[in-house]
Amino acid sequence: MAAGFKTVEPLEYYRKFLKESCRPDGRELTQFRTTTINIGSITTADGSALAKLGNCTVICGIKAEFAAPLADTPSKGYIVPNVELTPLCSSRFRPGPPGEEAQMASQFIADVIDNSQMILKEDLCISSGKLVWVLYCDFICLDYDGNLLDTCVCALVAALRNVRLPAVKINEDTGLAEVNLKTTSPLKILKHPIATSFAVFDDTFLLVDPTGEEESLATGLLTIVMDEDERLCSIRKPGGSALSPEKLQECISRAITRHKEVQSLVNEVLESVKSEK
Amino acid sequence: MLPQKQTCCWAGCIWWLQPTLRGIGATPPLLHYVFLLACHRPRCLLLINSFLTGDTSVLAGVYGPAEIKVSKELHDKATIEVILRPKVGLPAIQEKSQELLIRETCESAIMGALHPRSSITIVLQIVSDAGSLLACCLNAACTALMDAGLPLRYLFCGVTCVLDTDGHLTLDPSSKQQKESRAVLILAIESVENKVLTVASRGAYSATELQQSIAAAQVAAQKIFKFYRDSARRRYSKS
Repeated sequence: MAAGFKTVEPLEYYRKFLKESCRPDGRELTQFRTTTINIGSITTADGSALAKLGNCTVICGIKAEFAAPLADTPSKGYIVPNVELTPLCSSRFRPGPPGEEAQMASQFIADVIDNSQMILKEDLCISSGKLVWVLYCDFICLDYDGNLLDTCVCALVAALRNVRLPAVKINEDTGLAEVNLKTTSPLKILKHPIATSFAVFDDTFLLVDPTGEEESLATGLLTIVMDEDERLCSIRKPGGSALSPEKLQECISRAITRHKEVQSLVNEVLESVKSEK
Repeated sequence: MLPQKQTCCWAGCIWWLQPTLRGIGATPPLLHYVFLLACHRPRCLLLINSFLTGDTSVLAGVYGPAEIKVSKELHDKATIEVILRPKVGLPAIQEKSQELLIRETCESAIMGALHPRSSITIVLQIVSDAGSLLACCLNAACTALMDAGLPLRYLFCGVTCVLDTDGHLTLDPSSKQQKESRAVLILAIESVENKVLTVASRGAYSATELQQSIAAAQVAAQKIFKFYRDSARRRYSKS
């Protein structure tokens, strides 16, 4: 009976739950789904991580390559994020060039990296004006179930902490780069931005970590990216229900607690990866 | 039964020159608006040329509700498309993400359910960029929608705030101020309850700074809405 009601009147079905301040999957309104992070899942990449929020799964692989720096920024490397939403993860996506949502996610991740200053681009310089590192961060969504941005940012932070770059020396005589794969060093990560997404339901209810279904029924979406100093690195609220400043403040407070949760989870996983070795 | 398609077609066209908000708080307010409605008339186009002084300006056109490809058709509401054309070259990923932001803002204002299975297209042509471009695009889009006579839930306007290294807040920055700033916030405010519709940002800032920016933007929004009203009045009192 309930299943039938849900198919016919999904919105009414949700409203019945929200009236009692809970959700059909048993969560409270401010509760995240179970977050799982696996670090170092791809051995051929320079750094990788798999992040899962409930069913939503994103794998991130980071590959470092040499490149010539841009003429106006000779001592800066660059980071190129790319999000792929393949037909594998949801029937909403079609094969072919990246769709609007994938482009938006890629741009969002690039903005988060720039705004948060998590990595100094100068640290990626090998030889000024000649050679720099490019970090290609590829995200592949394996299962799309809402809240893609949070999952991607989680995967990004975890994967970047897993990156180990080999030592590179430029040979004076030949001018060629010599890579020493035996001595590797981790990246210097200054900030750990974490995203927290909300869905607005009927202009009143704020739901944390919406599932795919909740996202499609919601009247508005909001993503807040916060770093450990409680500074906002990015807010994305593309239209939808209008929010009062007080409601926004509520969301920011939730984002602060969420940051602590994820930060400790990432640290825990990194510790366990280290102790295994 | 599917709702009937509407056959009538509205079209609106707006040339929006970003009004300056730099004088907010100061008396007398330094507002030098140049605002021309219905610039598809060649007479107006001539006027615009003489008014161009290097400030940000965007030309906006609204077409719809019109016929739509079956693949893009939505059975319960209108499909809203925003096309943002840069001054030179082809639209890049940056424009694409701005288009998305403008589209979603317009979508929440337009009563799409009134025009099922039809398209509403908003074309924004950047004419000159002297800072606060995205806010300018939002303003142009809203006034164009207004001019087209499409039923809207509320009006909206875009306000850009910049924060410099001392935490000093400036509204409606020039492109130089924008480049030198620590953080840029683009806020869209709606006219009915004065709440925040859209937020986009660059750079890092604290929650208090965000709240200050919102408060400033809400004050500025009142000026812009008054300006909308005055312009509409001027337009309809003539001819």
